[in-house]
Amino acid sequence: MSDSPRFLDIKRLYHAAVELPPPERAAFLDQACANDQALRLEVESLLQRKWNLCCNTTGPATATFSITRP
Amino acid sequence: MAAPTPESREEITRLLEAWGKGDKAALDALIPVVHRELRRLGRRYMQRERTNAVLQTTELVNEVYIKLLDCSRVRWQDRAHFFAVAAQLMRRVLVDLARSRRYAKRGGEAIRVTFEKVLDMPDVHAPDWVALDDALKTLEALDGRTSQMVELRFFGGLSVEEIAEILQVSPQTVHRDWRFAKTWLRRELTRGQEV
Repeated sequence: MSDSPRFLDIKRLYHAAVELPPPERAAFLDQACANDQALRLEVESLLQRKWNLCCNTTGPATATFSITRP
Repeated sequence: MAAPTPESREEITRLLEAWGKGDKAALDALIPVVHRELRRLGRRYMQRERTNAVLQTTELVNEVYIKLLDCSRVRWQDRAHFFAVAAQLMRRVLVDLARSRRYAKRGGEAIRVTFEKVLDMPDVHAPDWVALDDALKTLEALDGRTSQMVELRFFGGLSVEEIAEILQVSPQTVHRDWRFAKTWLRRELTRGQEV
């Protein structure tokens, strides 16, 4: 299993930025991705509110599946 | 397959114990038994449900666990490892079922196997298992540990503590990676959809 260092950077920056109050994220990313605009765009895309609405990480997370007969 | 006898249950419990002690051959013997039982159970649900049905992967995995093993004898570490294997197999079983139903239309009646609630977002269209499986394969190539964690949680219903034990990381790491994985998957599975 060989992980992508790039992806692990994205994950690390996401973790760091998501812990910050939203107004402080831009400045953090300015510094962390100074020379890498693509990296910044990727992290910013993940930080969008619509992907982060429900952040309950403790509850049960079992997949529920449905069988539908039209 | 006939219902497991007390003898076969004892044998399967012994295999799990042996694997917990590092016996790789025991795992090789265990996998087909668990796979067969999960597949059989999955098919039975598909056939039995006349109308729409909502099922949980954990229920299926648990049912197989209780059926195949002498639960009173299993150590909790071994139990977690059983669920880890079962989660992997559950994923395969569901994807196979979804694939076979996707194209098999009989009398104009298609059976859709979609997953629900999994991403806790009511406005994300429920993609099917095949889409989730594809996204997990992408994730696996990028970050194997996070992909495995999703598998253990979605398909095996394992707790954060159990996953931490299996992956040999802290529960905090599991929480953080889980949050990231959900965010990433939500984005990935809604590509091309207006949310």
